[in-house]
Amino acid sequence: MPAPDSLLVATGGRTDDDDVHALALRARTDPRAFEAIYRRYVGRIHGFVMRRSGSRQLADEVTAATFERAWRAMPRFEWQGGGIEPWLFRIASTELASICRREARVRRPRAQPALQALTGSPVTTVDERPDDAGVDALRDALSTLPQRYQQALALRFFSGLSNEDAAQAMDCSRSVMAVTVHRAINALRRAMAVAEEGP
Amino acid sequence: MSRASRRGVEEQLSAIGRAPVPGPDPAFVDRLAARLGSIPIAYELDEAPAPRLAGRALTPARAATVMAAIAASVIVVLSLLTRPQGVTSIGPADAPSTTLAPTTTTTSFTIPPDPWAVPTTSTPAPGVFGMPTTTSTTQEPSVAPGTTAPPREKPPAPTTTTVPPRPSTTSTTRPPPERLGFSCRPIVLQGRSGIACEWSQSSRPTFASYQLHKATGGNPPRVVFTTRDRSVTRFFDGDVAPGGTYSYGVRALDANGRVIGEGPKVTTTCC
Repeated sequence: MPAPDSLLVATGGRTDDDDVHALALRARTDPRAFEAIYRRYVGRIHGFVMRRSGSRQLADEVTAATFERAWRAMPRFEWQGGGIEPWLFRIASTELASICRREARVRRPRAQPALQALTGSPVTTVDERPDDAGVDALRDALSTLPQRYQQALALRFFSGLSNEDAAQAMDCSRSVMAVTVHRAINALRRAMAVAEEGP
Repeated sequence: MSRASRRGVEEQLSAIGRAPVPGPDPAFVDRLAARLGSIPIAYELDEAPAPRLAGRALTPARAATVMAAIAASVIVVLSLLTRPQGVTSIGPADAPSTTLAPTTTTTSFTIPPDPWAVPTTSTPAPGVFGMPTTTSTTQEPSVAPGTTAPPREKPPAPTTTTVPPRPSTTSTTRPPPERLGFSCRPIVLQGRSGIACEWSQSSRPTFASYQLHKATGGNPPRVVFTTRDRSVTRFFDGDVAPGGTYSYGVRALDANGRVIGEGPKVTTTCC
Protein backbone atom coordinates (compact mmCIF):
# COMPACT_ATOMS: atom_id res chain seq x y z
CA MET A 1 0.00 0.00 0.00
CA PRO A 2 1.44 3.38 -0.87
CA ALA A 3 2.48 5.65 1.92
CA PRO A 4 -0.34 7.92 2.97
CA ASP A 5 1.20 11.12 1.79
CA SER A 6 3.33 9.86 -1.02
CA LEU A 7 1.13 11.61 -3.47
CA LEU A 8 1.47 14.88 -1.67
CA VAL A 9 5.19 14.58 -1.72
CA ALA A 10 5.15 13.62 -5.37
CA THR A 11 3.12 16.66 -6.30
CA GLY A 12 5.13 19.01 -4.20
CA GLY A 13 2.49 19.46 -1.54
CA ARG A 14 3.44 20.32 1.98
CA THR A 15 1.99 18.32 4.81
CA ASP A 16 2.97 17.14 8.21
CA ASP A 17 2.04 13.50 8.41
CA ASP A 18 1.45 13.74 12.13
CA ASP A 19 -0.58 16.85 12.01
CA VAL A 20 -3.99 15.31 11.55
CA HIS A 21 -5.66 18.51 12.53
CA ALA A 22 -4.09 20.50 9.73
CA LEU A 23 -4.62 17.61 7.34
CA ALA A 24 -8.31 17.40 8.19
CA LEU A 25 -8.81 21.11 7.75
CA ARG A 26 -7.04 21.01 4.44
CA ALA A 27 -9.10 18.00 3.38
CA ARG A 28 -12.16 20.23 3.37
CA THR A 29 -10.85 21.81 0.24
CA ASP A 30 -7.99 19.66 -0.95
CA PRO A 31 -8.80 16.18 -2.31
CA ARG A 32 -5.22 15.11 -1.85
CA ALA A 33 -5.41 15.79 1.86
CA PHE A 34 -8.63 13.82 1.99
CA GLU A 35 -6.89 10.93 0.33
CA ALA A 36 -4.21 11.03 2.99
CA ILE A 37 -6.94 10.94 5.65
CA TYR A 38 -8.59 8.06 3.84
CA ARG A 39 -5.44 5.99 3.71
CA ARG A 40 -4.71 6.74 7.32
CA TYR A 41 -8.06 5.55 8.64
CA VAL A 42 -9.33 3.03 6.12
CA GLY A 43 -7.70 0.13 7.98
CA ARG A 44 -9.18 1.11 11.32
CA ILE A 45 -12.66 1.64 9.97
CA HIS A 46 -12.46 -1.65 8.11
CA GLY A 47 -11.27 -3.44 11.26
CA PHE A 48 -14.03 -1.84 13.29
CA VAL A 49 -16.66 -3.21 10.94
CA MET A 50 -14.96 -6.59 10.74
CA ARG A 51 -15.09 -6.95 14.51
CA ARG A 52 -18.70 -5.95 14.63
CA SER A 53 -19.93 -8.03 11.71
CA GLY A 54 -17.33 -10.75 11.20
CA SER A 55 -17.80 -10.31 7.51
CA ARG A 56 -15.23 -8.98 5.10
CA GLN A 57 -17.90 -8.36 2.51
CA LEU A 58 -19.85 -6.23 4.93
CA ALA A 59 -16.67 -4.51 6.09
CA ASP A 60 -15.88 -3.55 2.51
CA GLU A 61 -19.40 -2.31 1.97
CA VAL A 62 -19.55 -0.23 5.13
CA THR A 63 -16.05 1.14 4.67
CA ALA A 64 -16.88 2.26 1.16
CA ALA A 65 -20.15 3.84 2.31
CA THR A 66 -18.41 5.55 5.21
CA PHE A 67 -15.72 7.20 3.15
CA GLU A 68 -18.15 8.10 0.42
CA ARG A 69 -20.31 9.93 2.94
CA ALA A 70 -17.26 11.50 4.53
CA TRP A 71 -16.02 12.61 1.12
CA ARG A 72 -19.29 14.30 0.34
CA ALA A 73 -19.57 15.88 3.79
CA MET A 74 -15.94 16.91 4.07
CA PRO A 75 -16.40 20.50 2.94
CA ARG A 76 -18.75 21.03 5.87
CA PHE A 77 -16.51 19.29 8.38
CA GLU A 78 -15.83 21.29 11.52
CA TRP A 79 -13.12 20.22 13.92
CA GLN A 80 -14.75 19.49 17.27
CA GLY A 81 -13.42 17.60 20.26
CA GLY A 82 -11.54 14.56 19.03
CA GLY A 83 -11.68 15.76 15.46
CA ILE A 84 -11.72 13.64 12.36
CA GLU A 85 -11.40 10.23 14.00
CA PRO A 86 -14.63 10.21 16.04
CA TRP A 87 -16.33 11.87 13.10
CA LEU A 88 -15.40 9.01 10.78
CA PHE A 89 -16.35 6.41 13.36
CA ARG A 90 -19.69 8.11 13.86
CA ILE A 91 -20.42 7.80 10.16
CA ALA A 92 -19.21 4.22 10.12
CA SER A 93 -21.26 3.18 13.14
CA THR A 94 -24.41 4.70 11.66
CA GLU A 95 -23.86 2.89 8.38
CA LEU A 96 -22.98 -0.27 10.20
CA ALA A 97 -26.05 -0.28 12.42
CA SER A 98 -28.42 0.20 9.53
CA ILE A 99 -26.75 -2.48 7.42
CA CYS A 100 -26.53 -4.92 10.32
CA ARG A 101 -30.20 -4.51 11.04
CA ARG A 102 -30.97 -5.28 7.42
CA GLU A 103 -28.67 -8.29 7.47
CA ALA A 104 -30.21 -9.57 10.69
CA ARG A 105 -33.63 -9.43 9.10
CA VAL A 106 -32.42 -11.42 6.14
CA ARG A 107 -30.80 -14.05 8.33
CA ARG A 108 -33.93 -14.69 10.38
CA PRO A 109 -35.13 -18.27 9.98
CA ARG A 110 -38.52 -17.15 8.75
CA ALA A 111 -37.01 -14.90 6.10
CA GLN A 112 -34.77 -17.53 4.58
CA PRO A 113 -37.39 -19.68 2.81
CA ALA A 114 -39.12 -16.61 1.40
CA LEU A 115 -35.92 -15.12 0.06
CA GLN A 116 -34.84 -18.47 -1.30
CA ALA A 117 -38.13 -18.73 -3.16
CA LEU A 118 -37.62 -15.29 -4.60
CA THR A 119 -34.03 -15.70 -5.66
CA GLY A 120 -34.09 -19.40 -6.44
CA SER A 121 -30.87 -19.98 -4.56
CA PRO A 122 -29.72 -20.09 -0.96
CA VAL A 123 -29.37 -16.62 0.44
CA THR A 124 -25.92 -15.83 1.67
CA THR A 125 -25.68 -12.30 2.80
CA VAL A 126 -22.42 -12.53 4.63
CA ASP A 127 -19.39 -14.56 3.86
CA GLU A 128 -18.30 -17.47 5.96
CA ARG A 129 -17.67 -16.66 9.54
CA PRO A 130 -14.91 -18.62 11.16
CA ASP A 131 -15.85 -17.30 14.58
CA ASP A 132 -17.43 -19.51 17.14
CA ALA A 133 -21.14 -19.85 17.60
CA GLY A 134 -21.14 -17.77 20.78
CA VAL A 135 -19.68 -14.78 18.99
CA ASP A 136 -22.17 -15.22 16.16
CA ALA A 137 -25.04 -15.33 18.63
CA LEU A 138 -23.79 -12.20 20.32
CA ARG A 139 -23.47 -10.36 17.00
CA ASP A 140 -26.93 -11.44 15.94
CA ALA A 141 -28.40 -10.33 19.25
CA LEU A 142 -26.57 -7.03 18.89
CA SER A 143 -28.22 -6.51 15.53
CA THR A 144 -31.66 -6.65 17.12
CA LEU A 145 -30.97 -3.75 19.47
CA PRO A 146 -32.04 -0.20 18.79
CA GLN A 147 -29.58 1.62 16.59
CA ARG A 148 -28.30 3.83 19.38
CA TYR A 149 -27.46 0.85 21.56
CA GLN A 150 -25.71 -0.88 18.68
CA GLN A 151 -23.66 2.21 18.02
CA ALA A 152 -22.76 2.67 21.66
CA LEU A 153 -21.56 -0.91 22.11
CA ALA A 154 -19.70 -1.03 18.82
CA LEU A 155 -17.92 2.25 19.47
CA ARG A 156 -17.14 1.36 23.06
CA PHE A 157 -15.79 -2.13 22.44
CA PHE A 158 -14.79 -2.50 18.78
CA SER A 159 -13.47 0.85 17.62
CA GLY A 160 -10.35 1.21 19.72
CA LEU A 161 -11.38 4.78 20.50
CA SER A 162 -10.86 6.23 23.93
CA ASN A 163 -13.97 6.67 26.06
CA GLU A 164 -13.81 10.37 25.37
CA ASP A 165 -13.62 9.90 21.61
CA ALA A 166 -16.27 7.17 21.64
CA ALA A 167 -18.61 9.60 23.40
CA GLN A 168 -17.64 12.22 20.85
CA ALA A 169 -18.49 9.79 18.07
CA MET A 170 -21.88 9.28 19.69
CA ASP A 171 -22.25 13.03 19.96
CA CYS A 172 -22.86 12.92 23.69
CA SER A 173 -21.03 13.43 26.96
CA ARG A 174 -19.00 10.71 28.64
CA SER A 175 -21.59 10.25 31.37
CA VAL A 176 -24.41 9.87 28.87
CA MET A 177 -22.26 7.45 26.93
CA ALA A 178 -21.65 5.38 30.08
CA VAL A 179 -25.36 5.21 30.81
CA THR A 180 -26.15 4.27 27.22
CA VAL A 181 -23.54 1.50 27.26
CA HIS A 182 -24.90 0.21 30.56
CA ARG A 183 -28.44 0.03 29.21
CA ALA A 184 -27.27 -1.41 25.92
CA ILE A 185 -25.51 -4.27 27.69
CA ASN A 186 -28.67 -5.05 29.64
CA ALA A 187 -30.66 -4.99 26.41
CA LEU A 188 -28.09 -7.25 24.81
CA ARG A 189 -28.34 -9.74 27.64
CA ARG A 190 -32.11 -9.83 27.21
CA ALA A 191 -31.78 -10.24 23.45
CA MET A 192 -29.31 -13.10 23.86
CA ALA A 193 -31.62 -14.82 26.32
CA VAL A 194 -34.55 -14.51 23.92
CA ALA A 195 -32.43 -15.89 21.08
CA GLU A 196 -31.41 -18.86 23.22
CA GLU A 197 -35.03 -19.71 23.84
CA GLY A 198 -35.70 -19.79 20.15
CA PRO A 199 -38.76 -18.74 18.17
CA MET B 1 -34.94 -17.55 30.78
CA SER B 2 -31.24 -17.80 31.52
CA ARG B 3 -29.31 -14.65 31.09
CA ALA B 4 -25.60 -14.33 30.60
CA SER B 5 -24.02 -12.35 33.37
CA ARG B 6 -23.34 -8.72 32.71
CA ARG B 7 -19.62 -9.20 33.24
CA GLY B 8 -19.66 -12.19 30.90
CA VAL B 9 -21.24 -10.14 28.12
CA GLU B 10 -18.77 -7.31 28.65
CA GLU B 11 -15.86 -9.73 28.50
CA GLN B 12 -17.22 -11.28 25.34
CA LEU B 13 -17.50 -7.86 23.73
CA SER B 14 -14.02 -6.89 24.87
CA ALA B 15 -12.59 -10.14 23.52
CA ILE B 16 -14.07 -9.43 20.09
CA GLY B 17 -12.65 -5.91 20.26
CA ARG B 18 -9.17 -7.23 21.07
CA ALA B 19 -9.16 -10.02 18.52
CA PRO B 20 -6.93 -9.37 15.52
CA VAL B 21 -8.79 -8.96 12.27
CA PRO B 22 -7.41 -9.09 8.75
CA GLY B 23 -6.86 -5.69 7.23
CA PRO B 24 -8.57 -4.53 4.10
CA ASP B 25 -7.36 -5.89 0.81
CA PRO B 26 -4.88 -3.36 -0.68
CA ALA B 27 -6.59 -3.74 -4.04
CA PHE B 28 -9.88 -2.85 -2.38
CA VAL B 29 -8.30 0.22 -0.79
CA ASP B 30 -6.95 1.42 -4.11
CA ARG B 31 -10.19 0.68 -5.92
CA LEU B 32 -12.14 2.62 -3.33
CA ALA B 33 -9.71 5.53 -3.56
CA ALA B 34 -10.22 5.63 -7.30
CA ARG B 35 -13.98 5.42 -6.87
CA LEU B 36 -14.00 8.23 -4.36
CA GLY B 37 -11.93 10.27 -6.72
CA SER B 38 -14.44 9.81 -9.47
CA ILE B 39 -17.24 11.29 -7.38
CA PRO B 40 -17.60 14.95 -8.23
CA ILE B 41 -16.56 17.10 -5.38
CA ALA B 42 -19.72 18.72 -4.17
CA TYR B 43 -18.11 21.46 -2.20
CA GLU B 44 -20.71 23.51 -0.48
CA LEU B 45 -20.28 27.00 -1.64
CA ASP B 46 -19.98 29.47 1.12
CA GLU B 47 -22.62 32.08 0.99
CA ALA B 48 -21.03 34.84 -0.99
CA PRO B 49 -21.42 38.07 0.94
CA ALA B 50 -24.07 40.27 -0.56
CA PRO B 51 -22.60 43.13 -2.52
CA ARG B 52 -22.77 46.39 -0.66
CA LEU B 53 -22.80 49.95 -1.77
CA ALA B 54 -22.35 52.87 0.58
CA GLY B 55 -22.78 50.61 3.56
CA ARG B 56 -26.05 49.04 2.48
CA ALA B 57 -26.81 45.80 0.71
CA LEU B 58 -26.96 46.25 -3.01
CA THR B 59 -30.17 44.55 -4.01
CA PRO B 60 -31.08 44.28 -7.70
CA ALA B 61 -33.73 46.96 -7.24
CA ARG B 62 -31.29 49.29 -5.56
CA ALA B 63 -28.67 48.58 -8.18
CA ALA B 64 -31.18 49.52 -10.86
CA THR B 65 -31.95 52.77 -9.04
CA VAL B 66 -28.26 53.59 -8.68
CA MET B 67 -27.59 52.85 -12.33
CA ALA B 68 -30.54 55.01 -13.37
CA ALA B 69 -29.19 57.84 -11.24
CA ILE B 70 -25.76 57.43 -12.77
CA ALA B 71 -27.21 57.42 -16.26
CA ALA B 72 -29.20 60.57 -15.51
CA SER B 73 -26.15 62.37 -14.17
CA VAL B 74 -24.14 61.28 -17.22
CA ILE B 75 -26.77 62.76 -19.49
CA VAL B 76 -26.71 66.01 -17.54
CA VAL B 77 -22.93 66.19 -17.68
CA LEU B 78 -22.91 65.43 -21.37
CA SER B 79 -25.48 68.07 -22.09
CA LEU B 80 -23.36 70.60 -20.19
CA LEU B 81 -20.19 69.57 -21.90
CA THR B 82 -21.59 69.62 -25.38
CA ARG B 83 -22.74 73.23 -25.10
CA PRO B 84 -20.60 75.53 -27.30
CA GLN B 85 -18.42 76.80 -24.47
CA GLY B 86 -15.07 76.00 -26.04
CA VAL B 87 -15.21 72.50 -24.85
CA THR B 88 -13.83 70.31 -27.51
CA SER B 89 -14.04 66.85 -26.21
CA ILE B 90 -14.32 64.64 -23.29
CA GLY B 91 -12.01 61.81 -22.73
CA PRO B 92 -10.16 59.69 -20.29
CA ALA B 93 -7.89 61.00 -17.63
CA ASP B 94 -4.79 60.94 -19.74
CA ALA B 95 -6.30 62.93 -22.56
CA PRO B 96 -4.47 66.09 -23.69
CA SER B 97 -4.75 69.08 -21.45
CA THR B 98 -6.85 70.97 -23.96
CA THR B 99 -9.68 68.65 -23.25
CA LEU B 100 -12.00 69.06 -20.38
CA ALA B 101 -12.25 65.73 -18.77
CA PRO B 102 -13.32 64.56 -15.36
CA THR B 103 -9.78 63.64 -14.57
CA THR B 104 -10.31 63.23 -10.86
CA THR B 105 -13.07 60.76 -11.26
CA THR B 106 -12.41 57.40 -9.70
CA THR B 107 -14.87 54.63 -9.58
CA SER B 108 -15.23 53.90 -5.93
CA PHE B 109 -17.60 51.02 -5.84
CA THR B 110 -17.46 47.62 -7.33
CA ILE B 111 -20.38 45.37 -7.85
CA PRO B 112 -19.12 41.83 -7.96
CA PRO B 113 -20.16 40.97 -11.46
CA ASP B 114 -20.29 37.74 -13.28
CA PRO B 115 -16.72 36.69 -13.58
CA TRP B 116 -15.01 37.74 -16.74
CA ALA B 117 -18.09 39.58 -17.86
CA VAL B 118 -17.25 43.16 -17.03
CA PRO B 119 -13.97 44.49 -15.76
CA THR B 120 -14.30 45.26 -12.10
CA THR B 121 -11.25 47.40 -11.78
CA SER B 122 -11.76 50.61 -9.94
CA THR B 123 -9.57 52.67 -12.23
CA PRO B 124 -10.77 52.25 -15.76
CA ALA B 125 -8.29 51.77 -18.49
CA PRO B 126 -8.46 54.16 -21.40
CA GLY B 127 -10.43 52.78 -24.25
CA VAL B 128 -11.99 50.10 -22.19
CA PHE B 129 -14.18 51.75 -19.70
CA GLY B 130 -14.31 55.32 -20.92
CA MET B 131 -14.64 56.93 -24.24
CA PRO B 132 -13.27 54.94 -27.15
CA THR B 133 -9.83 56.24 -27.96
CA THR B 134 -10.62 56.58 -31.63
CA THR B 135 -13.25 59.24 -31.00
CA SER B 136 -11.89 60.90 -27.96
CA THR B 137 -10.36 64.08 -29.29
CA THR B 138 -11.56 66.58 -31.81
CA GLN B 139 -8.92 69.29 -31.73
CA GLU B 140 -10.21 72.82 -32.29
CA PRO B 141 -8.38 74.24 -35.30
CA SER B 142 -6.26 77.18 -34.39
CA VAL B 143 -7.38 80.49 -35.82
CA ALA B 144 -4.98 83.29 -36.48
CA PRO B 145 -5.87 86.70 -35.03
CA GLY B 146 -7.72 88.91 -37.44
CA THR B 147 -8.82 86.18 -39.71
CA THR B 148 -12.24 84.86 -40.11
CA ALA B 149 -12.80 81.66 -38.53
CA PRO B 150 -14.24 79.00 -40.76
CA PRO B 151 -17.73 77.96 -39.98
CA ARG B 152 -17.67 75.86 -36.96
CA GLU B 153 -18.42 72.28 -37.55
CA LYS B 154 -21.15 70.93 -35.44
CA PRO B 155 -19.73 68.48 -33.00
CA PRO B 156 -21.00 64.96 -33.34
CA ALA B 157 -23.95 64.16 -31.23
CA PRO B 158 -23.06 62.21 -28.15
CA THR B 159 -23.76 58.56 -28.35
CA THR B 160 -23.87 55.88 -25.78
CA THR B 161 -20.31 54.95 -26.57
CA THR B 162 -19.07 58.28 -25.35
CA VAL B 163 -19.80 57.66 -21.71
CA PRO B 164 -17.12 59.08 -19.47
CA PRO B 165 -15.69 57.09 -16.63
CA ARG B 166 -18.26 56.32 -14.01
CA PRO B 167 -18.65 59.15 -11.58
CA SER B 168 -17.83 58.60 -8.01
CA THR B 169 -20.70 58.08 -5.62
CA THR B 170 -18.65 58.05 -2.46
CA SER B 171 -15.51 59.80 -1.52
CA THR B 172 -13.47 56.73 -0.52
CA THR B 173 -11.09 55.17 -2.99
CA ARG B 174 -9.78 51.64 -2.91
CA PRO B 175 -6.68 50.20 -4.40
CA PRO B 176 -7.09 48.23 -7.58
CA PRO B 177 -7.38 44.47 -7.25
CA GLU B 178 -4.16 42.67 -6.64
CA ARG B 179 -2.90 40.59 -9.52
CA LEU B 180 -2.82 36.94 -8.49
CA GLY B 181 -0.60 34.44 -10.20
CA PHE B 182 -2.75 31.66 -11.56
CA SER B 183 -2.11 28.55 -13.58
CA CYS B 184 -3.93 25.33 -14.36
CA ARG B 185 -2.59 22.13 -15.84
CA PRO B 186 -3.89 18.65 -16.49
CA ILE B 187 -2.53 16.06 -14.09
CA VAL B 188 -3.21 12.49 -13.14
CA LEU B 189 -3.91 12.02 -9.47
CA GLN B 190 -4.04 8.45 -8.25
CA GLY B 191 -4.99 7.23 -11.67
CA ARG B 192 -7.63 9.88 -11.96
CA SER B 193 -7.32 12.54 -14.59
CA GLY B 194 -8.15 16.08 -13.74
CA ILE B 195 -6.99 19.64 -13.80
CA ALA B 196 -4.98 21.14 -11.01
CA CYS B 197 -5.10 24.89 -10.50
CA GLU B 198 -2.74 26.88 -8.35
CA TRP B 199 -2.69 30.52 -7.50
CA SER B 200 -0.55 32.87 -5.53
CA GLN B 201 -1.59 33.75 -2.03
CA SER B 202 -3.38 37.03 -1.55
CA SER B 203 -1.41 39.56 0.44
CA ARG B 204 -4.28 41.89 1.16
CA PRO B 205 -5.11 42.26 4.84
CA THR B 206 -8.79 42.51 3.97
CA PHE B 207 -8.77 39.03 2.43
CA ALA B 208 -11.87 36.99 3.22
CA SER B 209 -12.10 34.23 0.63
CA TYR B 210 -10.99 32.84 -2.69
CA GLN B 211 -13.39 31.90 -5.42
CA LEU B 212 -12.49 29.64 -8.30
CA HIS B 213 -14.62 29.82 -11.41
CA LYS B 214 -14.90 27.33 -14.17
CA ALA B 215 -16.46 27.65 -17.59
CA THR B 216 -16.83 25.15 -20.35
CA GLY B 217 -18.47 24.87 -23.72
CA GLY B 218 -19.62 28.43 -23.92
CA ASN B 219 -21.52 28.15 -20.67
CA PRO B 220 -21.19 31.01 -18.24
CA PRO B 221 -18.60 30.47 -15.57
CA ARG B 222 -19.74 29.13 -12.25
CA VAL B 223 -18.08 29.02 -8.89
CA VAL B 224 -16.69 25.56 -8.28
CA PHE B 225 -14.69 26.22 -5.20
CA THR B 226 -14.68 28.67 -2.34
CA THR B 227 -12.46 28.79 0.68
CA ARG B 228 -11.87 31.24 3.45
CA ASP B 229 -8.44 29.86 4.14
CA ARG B 230 -5.83 32.21 2.76
CA SER B 231 -3.22 29.49 2.65
CA VAL B 232 -5.30 27.20 0.43
CA THR B 233 -3.99 27.96 -2.99
CA ARG B 234 -4.64 24.75 -4.87
CA PHE B 235 -7.61 22.97 -6.28
CA PHE B 236 -7.93 19.70 -8.10
CA ASP B 237 -10.86 19.49 -10.44
CA GLY B 238 -11.77 15.90 -11.15
CA ASP B 239 -15.05 16.81 -12.78
CA VAL B 240 -13.61 16.97 -16.25
CA ALA B 241 -13.96 14.95 -19.42
CA PRO B 242 -11.01 13.75 -21.46
CA GLY B 243 -10.37 16.15 -24.29
CA GLY B 244 -12.60 18.79 -22.77
CA THR B 245 -11.50 22.39 -22.72
CA TYR B 246 -12.12 24.34 -19.56
CA SER B 247 -11.52 27.89 -18.52
CA TYR B 248 -10.73 28.84 -14.98
CA GLY B 249 -10.41 32.06 -13.10
CA VAL B 250 -9.67 32.94 -9.51
CA ARG B 251 -10.65 35.90 -7.43
CA ALA B 252 -9.94 37.02 -3.91
CA LEU B 253 -12.77 38.76 -2.14
CA ASP B 254 -12.97 40.83 0.98
CA ALA B 255 -15.63 40.42 3.63
CA ASN B 256 -18.01 42.62 1.68
CA GLY B 257 -17.65 40.56 -1.46
CA ARG B 258 -15.49 43.10 -3.22
CA VAL B 259 -12.87 41.81 -5.57
CA ILE B 260 -9.49 42.53 -4.03
CA GLY B 261 -7.47 40.15 -6.16
CA GLU B 262 -7.85 38.52 -9.49
CA GLY B 263 -5.92 36.07 -11.58
CA PRO B 264 -5.90 35.81 -15.34
CA LYS B 265 -8.37 33.61 -17.11
CA VAL B 266 -6.68 30.32 -17.93
CA THR B 267 -7.91 27.87 -20.51
CA THR B 268 -6.65 24.33 -20.52
CA THR B 269 -7.51 21.09 -22.22
CA CYS B 270 -7.91 18.07 -20.12
CA CYS B 271 -5.85 14.96 -20.22
